[in-house]
Amino acid sequence: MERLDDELSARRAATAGRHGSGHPLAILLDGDLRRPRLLVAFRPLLVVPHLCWLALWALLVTPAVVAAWVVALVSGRVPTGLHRFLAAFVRTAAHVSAFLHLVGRPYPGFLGREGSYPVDLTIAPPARQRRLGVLARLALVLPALLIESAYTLLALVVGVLAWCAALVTGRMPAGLRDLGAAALRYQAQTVGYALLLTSRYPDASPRLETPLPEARP
Amino acid sequence: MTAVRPWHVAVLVSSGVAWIAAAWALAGTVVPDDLALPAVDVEGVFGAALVERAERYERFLYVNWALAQIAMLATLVVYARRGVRLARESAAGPVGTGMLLGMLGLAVVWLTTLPFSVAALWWDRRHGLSQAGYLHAVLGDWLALGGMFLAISIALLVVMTLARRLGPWWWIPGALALGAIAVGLVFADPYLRTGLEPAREGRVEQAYERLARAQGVAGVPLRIEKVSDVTTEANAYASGLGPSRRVVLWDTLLDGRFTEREVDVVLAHELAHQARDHVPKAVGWFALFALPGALVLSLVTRSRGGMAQPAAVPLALLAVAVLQLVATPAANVVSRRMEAEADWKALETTRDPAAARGLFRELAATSLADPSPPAWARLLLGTHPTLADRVAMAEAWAEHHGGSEPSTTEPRPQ
Ligand SMILES: [Zn+2]
Repeated sequence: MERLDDELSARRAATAGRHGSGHPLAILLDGDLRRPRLLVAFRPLLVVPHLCWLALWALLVTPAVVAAWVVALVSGRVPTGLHRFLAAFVRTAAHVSAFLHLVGRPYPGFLGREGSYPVDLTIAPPARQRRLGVLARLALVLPALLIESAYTLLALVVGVLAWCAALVTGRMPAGLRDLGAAALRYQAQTVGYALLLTSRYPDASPRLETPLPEARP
Repeated sequence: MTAVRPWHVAVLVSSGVAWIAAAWALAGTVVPDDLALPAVDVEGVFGAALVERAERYERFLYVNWALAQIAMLATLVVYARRGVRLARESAAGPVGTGMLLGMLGLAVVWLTTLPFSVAALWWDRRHGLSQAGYLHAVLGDWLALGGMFLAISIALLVVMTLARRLGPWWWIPGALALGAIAVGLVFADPYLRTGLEPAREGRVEQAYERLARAQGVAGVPLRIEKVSDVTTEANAYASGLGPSRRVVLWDTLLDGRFTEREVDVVLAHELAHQARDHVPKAVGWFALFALPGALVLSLVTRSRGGMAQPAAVPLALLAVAVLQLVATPAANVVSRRMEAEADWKALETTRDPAAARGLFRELAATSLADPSPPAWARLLLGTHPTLADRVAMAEAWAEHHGGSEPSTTEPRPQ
């Protein structure tokens, strides 16, 4: 038992931390791979309130992103208030997705506050964006959306395999966790790019590299 | 212990008076007060063989139900003590954590009562009443839990937010808010159901229109629900509020086992529920029960910091389950009064007590319902008058209208 725990902590040390190759949207991972079975068994149902909440929130996101697009087209920058609103939405969705796919252990909150969930999304503050890139954002995001749909499928497979494994062992296999985290990161970066949170194109690499120094303990 | 202030007493006394007045207004029915139900020879009407078979069938379900209740309460007692620990598994705020604890409470109850649900299904299949597969039933049940998770989350969101803002007096606006949620759910219910089709049989539609006119009910569509692939039992119900009002017949009522006149009695009964506003009245009763229920909840959970704290949720679940069980006999009295009123109005509209008696006899056969169940079962499970009492009412109606010999029974289709 002790040896297993040692192995696990070594594995954790390898991937816990911030992953994003310097991208303005990065994913933070913790090292906890335990997943209590009761929460595993009912996981798809436990997120029903979050899904309803996100659906309501999405109704406000649509006009907000249109407003952000118009302002960015004029001034070359998304206003801080709108950026914060859209970032909170993307972060909440990432927290919920992490919980649903067993990448994260605890039950997530509803407000998408940074630092409120152990599998977190760090989103850089608003920066200048080229107006041409803003104008063509809808067309530019299409190739990324294609890759994103592949990552969504991958996340689904990871989720199903992890669900079966964690139901038996009470643990999330580290490899599946990393694969799921890579998928979540790509999804978040694509949505963040579409919602004008960043002008940086999503990074399609499925690899989680050595953690960056700003990793949280 | 806070001192009792005069305005506390004033609020409680005026709430009590308003409660009694509202209950009085909701309880009235058109069934004559002096109506005496004649004694019914149960074996004579339903047949000794059917009565014995139905009694045997129901006995197993009674035991199964009682064991499931014990399992549920035992689970909730353990959960009330230990469930708080699961708060560790939440990264959400206090209200989100409360929602998680509420949902997990329902989840453990679902798990511990699952064997009893499966046993009931096995028994129904054994008696040819159900064709549902085990996996299909369990999976469907698991998915239905998602709806319950949403409902308890909304209820806890409302109650905990009010408790955090208003302190110990949350229970008055809390009960009103729960009533408002019930109105929303009851209104939305007909729109959320799938598999409801407009009536295709011209005769049923025509009879429905005729009976609706007779009862002064307008703009309530009739729908047929397809259930014949999972059950042979027959049923019908009235649902919705205002523009969402519906009368729904299971397609098993129209498979030829019931005569046209018997189907007419069902249509008239369901229309009577709409004509006498039983759905909004039921919501009113829910709000009336919710008021003292919320008060008890606020008192019981004080030891855990009140409903503002997620730690109170596991204890609150146990309290709600006990309250529900305690209130069941009273709720059943209310339900039986409404059902008796619908039966009476159906008799007034169809003027066909023979068809009513035929219908109740056939319902006993198709659902294996004991026509005269034991008193405790009537108390705890009797949402409708017993089939024997319903036959007695048909006879009392005939007596009330001149004591004429009721019209002859229609030959039953084969
Ligand atoms: Zn009824």
